[in-house]
This record gives sequence, C-alpha cells and structure tokens, in this order.
Amino acid sequence: MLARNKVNQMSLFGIPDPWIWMAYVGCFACVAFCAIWYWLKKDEVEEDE
Amino acid sequence: MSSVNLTVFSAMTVVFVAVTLLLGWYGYRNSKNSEDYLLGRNKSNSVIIALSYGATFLSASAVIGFGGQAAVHGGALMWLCFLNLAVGVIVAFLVFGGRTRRLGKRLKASTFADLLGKTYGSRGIRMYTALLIIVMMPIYCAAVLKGGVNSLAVITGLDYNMMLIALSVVVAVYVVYGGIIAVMYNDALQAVIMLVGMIVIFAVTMSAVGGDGFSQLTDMSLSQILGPGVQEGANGWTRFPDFGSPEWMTVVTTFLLGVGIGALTQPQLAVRFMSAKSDRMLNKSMLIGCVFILVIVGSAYTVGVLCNVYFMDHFDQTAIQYVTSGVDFIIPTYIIEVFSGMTFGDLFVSLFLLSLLCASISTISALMHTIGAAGGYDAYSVWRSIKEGRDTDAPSVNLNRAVTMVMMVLVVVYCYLMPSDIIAKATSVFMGVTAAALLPTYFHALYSKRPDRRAAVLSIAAGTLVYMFWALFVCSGTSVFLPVCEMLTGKAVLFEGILASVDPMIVSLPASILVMAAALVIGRSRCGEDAEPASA
Repeated sequence: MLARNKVNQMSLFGIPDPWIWMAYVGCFACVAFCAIWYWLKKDEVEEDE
Repeated sequence: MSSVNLTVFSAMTVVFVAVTLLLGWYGYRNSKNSEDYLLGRNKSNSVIIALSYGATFLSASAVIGFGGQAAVHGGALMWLCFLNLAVGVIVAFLVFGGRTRRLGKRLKASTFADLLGKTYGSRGIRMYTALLIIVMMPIYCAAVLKGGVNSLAVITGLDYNMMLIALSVVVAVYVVYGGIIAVMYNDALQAVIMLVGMIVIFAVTMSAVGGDGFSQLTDMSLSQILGPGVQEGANGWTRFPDFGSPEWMTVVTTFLLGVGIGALTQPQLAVRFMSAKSDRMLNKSMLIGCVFILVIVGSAYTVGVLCNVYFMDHFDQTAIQYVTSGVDFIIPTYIIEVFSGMTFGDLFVSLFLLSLLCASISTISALMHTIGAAGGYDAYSVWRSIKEGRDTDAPSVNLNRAVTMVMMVLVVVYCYLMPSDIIAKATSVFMGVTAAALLPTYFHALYSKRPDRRAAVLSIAAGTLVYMFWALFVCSGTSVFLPVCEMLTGKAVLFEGILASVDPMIVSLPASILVMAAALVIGRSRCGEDAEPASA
C-alpha cells in the first residue's frame, strides 16, 4: 500500500504525490471526526435557547 | 451510445415514480399549515435530514459534471470531496447548523431569507435574498435539469423533450402539493438509490482496472495525458498541477474553492437545519451526511480518474479523447462501456441511470421549493409589509404553489436557452455569488449579539458588485456566458493572463468580508463617540 517512488516521495495506492493522496486521507479523517463528535455529544444534555 | 435495455429501465422508473408520487401524497396529508409546507419543523428524523441534506447538496453535477472533470484534471479534484466534507458538512453543521436552528426557532423564521430579514429587522435584506434566489437559482436549477436529462436522453436514446417535460411534471407535482415534507422524504429515497448505484459502479471500476489503477496512470507519459481541456501546468492524473499555473488556477479557484465554500450559504440547505428538532439530531445527521457524501462524491471522482485506465486499455485513448461529445458525457459513456456484455449489465446500467435521475430530481425539487418560498412567501410578505406599513408575514400555501409552478415552467424554458456542457460552471457561479453576497451577513447574523444592519447591507452590496464585475469583465470562464465585456470593449475580458483564470468568488468573498469588517469597526467607533458625551 505504502511505497517510495523514484524521487523518494511516499506513495499511497500508486499515487506518488502527497498533495493527491492527502486529499483521500483528509476525507476519511472527516468521517472519523464526525463519528467521534457524535459519540462525545450523544449523551450531552441539551439547553435550548 | 444507446445500449440500454429500455424495458428494464422503464420498469424501474415506473416503480420509482409511483413511490415518489406516494411520498408526495404523504407530504400533502401532513402539511396542515404554511410552516409545515415551508419548513416541516419536527416532522422528520436525523436520517431523513442527513440524507435529504446530502441528496440536495449533490446534484447530477457531482456525479457526471465533476466526475467528468476528474477524468480530465485528475485526482486533484479529490480536494473538492474533502472540502465538501470539511466545509459543506462539518463546518456547515457545527458552525452554522445549530445556531441556524436555534435562531430560526426563536424568530419563527420559515426560510433562509426570512431568517436574515428578521435577524437584521430589514425588509430590504429579506427582499434582496429572495430576489437573489428568484433570479439566480432557476439558472442553477436549469443547469442541473438540463445536465440530467441530456445524459439520460443520450444514454437511453429517448427523446430529450419528452424526458425534460416528464421529469419536470413529476417534480412539479410532488413539490407543489407535498411541500418540504414530500421533498425531504423523496430526497431520502433518492439518496438510498444513489448510494447503491455508486457503490456498484465503484466496485465494478476497481474490478475492471485492477488494484494498480493509479500506478498505471502514474506511469503514463505526460504527452499521453495532455488533451482537450487540460491547461498549461498539468502534471497528470496522479500529481497536483504546478502552483500558480493556469491549470492550477482553474482547478483550485474554480472547482475547489468556488464550490466548496459556496456550499455554506445555500438557502435550500439552511432550511434543513431549521427543520431539525434538536442539536443532537443535527450531530447524528452530520455523521450520516458525511458518510453519504464520501461514498457518492469519493466514488464519482475516483471512478472519473480511473476510467482513463479503462479507455487507454480498450481504445488507446484518454477519456476526453475518446468521448468527443464533452466532459459531461465521460462518466455516462464509461458506464455504458464497462457494463456492456457483463452479467446483469442491463440492470446495473439502469440502476446508474436511476441514480442519475435521483441526483437530478433531489436537487431540483429542493431548489424549486426554495424558489417557490422566496417568491410566494418572502417577496409577497415584504410587499404586504410595505403596503400595510407594518412588518407582517403573509403565509399562503396556494401562492407558494403557484410561484413554484410558474418558476418550473421558466426553468424548462431556460433549459432550451442555455448552452450545453455548463453544469459544473453553473454550479460554481450560483454557489459563488451566494457566498460572496451572503456568507459574511449570514455568519454575522448567527454570531453577533447586536447584528449591524448597515454593515450587512454594505457587505451584500460589495460582494454582489465585485462578483458581477469580475464574472462579466475579468474571468474568461464566466464572461463567455454573458459577453457584456466583448460588446463594450471588443475584448472577451479586460486583462489577459493569469487573472482571467481566477474565479470571481476568490476576489468577491474577501471584498465582502472586508467591507463587513470595516463597516462594523466604523459603526462601533461611532457608537462609542456618540455614547461618550451622554455618559459624561
């Protein structure tokens, strides 16, 4: 999955440019953030303004 | 192009339309008053809100328009997926969602224009927001409708006019009668169909190109990659374009920032926040919406990039070289090709077509409902307020229905007037102009204890004027649609070079923010000066 190409850049799934594969990583990080946020907030008592 | 089994597609469509109309009837039965029709507060759960938000957020543009752009410009478009999630979902729900819901409930606001108007105590802001929706949204709606129908007509071989009218009638019937409840429940149904369709397409693509699809793209030489639509500075499908190059400017300012940030001020999405019962419900909706958008957008863009491997393997051409009819036809053509000869291929192609139909309908229905509310509720309420000399809300479900019907006809007329290959650009223009005009005002409304009406008006004016000037006179991508600059100066744009590639929102949104900030500072300092003698 992870490999290093000729110019010593780390590649992910054959994508050599971190500017591209970081976008994929960022997408999954967003979903993880939402899951953690929901988990932390699900039992919080809500005060309606 | 057509190799679609029309019997299978027709059968699936008939069942789909029947369920759609049934949900329209459900909405009609549950819309007892104007608030139910406009907002449907407390009438849905977090799953419905999430799927409705996601399906409204993503039109056929996300799948075929931007999927096709990914086939041309490469994996850099995945940053748009990231921005859709980070800005369009997380920032939208956490920064805007909860406060919009609470403020809307406190002010008894039923629409986005109503919310801004009541927060600032300004009929002008409410009317302007409503007019922006009435003028600009039908263009966006027509682009979505035209894009969806065009693809379906080309793929199926069915008559374009017949499909356009049939689709418009179905949407008009359930939006006009069922209101927001019918819209949201239908969105949820359509979202599920889109999910299934995109998962199948993604799985088949991975199977068709193999696990090393990106490696194959990386190994191709740059001369193979460069083709129509690719500008100077492109480095292939798996590498980001050179910083500051024309390709970089187009990808970053038009596709990434133009659409990503613009999603925050979509009136049709703000209404989804206001219909939620609690913040906890919004948190759950945020998670479901995030997964939904990741699956749909992530799959569409990845398939868009990887379909180049398929076209190179089978036809020794890139996607844009093979599909000469335009960027919007890359994904549909690919689907037809990849499923031909496959077991249950007919079924999967029909499922894709139905997903496309759902993606178009879900966005169009939400837009039509918003346009109807802007005309039949906001503009009418402001007119009645001026006439009676006092602030009043004039909710009339029948007037909303009438406006929606009239605007639906206008949207169909636009479809015949607008050029082809416009989906992604029209999406970008609509989102850009609403963000430039309304984002600082919306944010200030939610976060200020004393919303400053004058600052909001100046910010809206600055954002709109700068956007219009840049779109008509500087940006080559937008000036072609309304060639005012060419008529006045004889040149397509005022300045040649890199400025012509910069999207109008990149300039107009900072201008709108700066004007808002300056007006607030000046306003506060004047208040301070006025207050000093009184307190002395």
